[in-house]
Amino acid sequence: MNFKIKLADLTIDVQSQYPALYDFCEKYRSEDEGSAFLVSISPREIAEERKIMPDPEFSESYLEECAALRKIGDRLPLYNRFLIHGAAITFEDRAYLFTAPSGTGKSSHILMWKKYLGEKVDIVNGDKCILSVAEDEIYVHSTPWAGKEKWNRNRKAKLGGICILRRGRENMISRRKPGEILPELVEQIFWPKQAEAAGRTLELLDSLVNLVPVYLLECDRSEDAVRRSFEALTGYRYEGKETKI
Amino acid sequence: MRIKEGFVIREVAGQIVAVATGEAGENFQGMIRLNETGRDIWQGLMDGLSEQKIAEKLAETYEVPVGQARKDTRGLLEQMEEAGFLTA
Repeated sequence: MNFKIKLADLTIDVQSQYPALYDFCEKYRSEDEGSAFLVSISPREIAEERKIMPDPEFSESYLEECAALRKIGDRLPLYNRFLIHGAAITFEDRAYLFTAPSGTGKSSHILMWKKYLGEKVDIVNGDKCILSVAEDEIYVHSTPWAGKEKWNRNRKAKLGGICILRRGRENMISRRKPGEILPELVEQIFWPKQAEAAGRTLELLDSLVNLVPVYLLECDRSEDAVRRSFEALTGYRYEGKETKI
Repeated sequence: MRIKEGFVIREVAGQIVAVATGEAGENFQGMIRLNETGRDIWQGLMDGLSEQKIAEKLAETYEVPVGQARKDTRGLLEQMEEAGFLTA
């Protein structure tokens, strides 16, 4: 199937083996003329994904979604963008990205932001975001790849801060020097197969850490954790109250 | 002996950082931090220079005795070999 999608303001031609990818990309489909590049997924590439995820529970069309993400991630750095594993939300139109290995509690944490801070919080994407670097600004963009909760809204926002999450017994947050948290960020960034794109990603990472403050949050799953991350990231005083979500 | 294909070195946040792609990325994910001498040795390997040549260049750049530069080069090469970054 042939169709176009628009991710992080880039129009991309897609050729898929299964129609499921067309449906998966529904909110991101585009009718624009022209495109930045073509992503064509072959049966061989789907088979490669099967080798990584041999569980028969994964359907061929799911594996195609993974292959498509990999191919897009390989190309993005050549357009000053890169993929990162993290959950992004906005508060008053400024975006904040929470990143950590799977299972740390990113989804729970952003859900608590919604619970205690209500409608001012909007979830951009719960799992895979694109960061774009332009002039002196970093933007976070949503993608259709949004983890098991599928939280995603096709939008972008200026990135105001990054928060690396760690589980802890006490809630503590501190701003970190860029050099201190590179390994944690490198671990959550998608690394392209080609050296040129990987080199470009390192250059974009350099811009990112120079332009955006990075915090390390050790937290449990309480309201106090939200208060800490909210105050550090937004600079506002926390006056949350529980709302129904 | 040569360095595996696919390492990329850049300066990020004032640090010299290497990541692995392609052949090198098959067995290594993550990043390696290098100091300036480390970067020069690594870059020398990527440029296909011999161990001897790399040591001579180091001695010249940092104005240190060749013996010292050889020792530094050998030290890093051994670490890289242990980490599986080198290949026959």
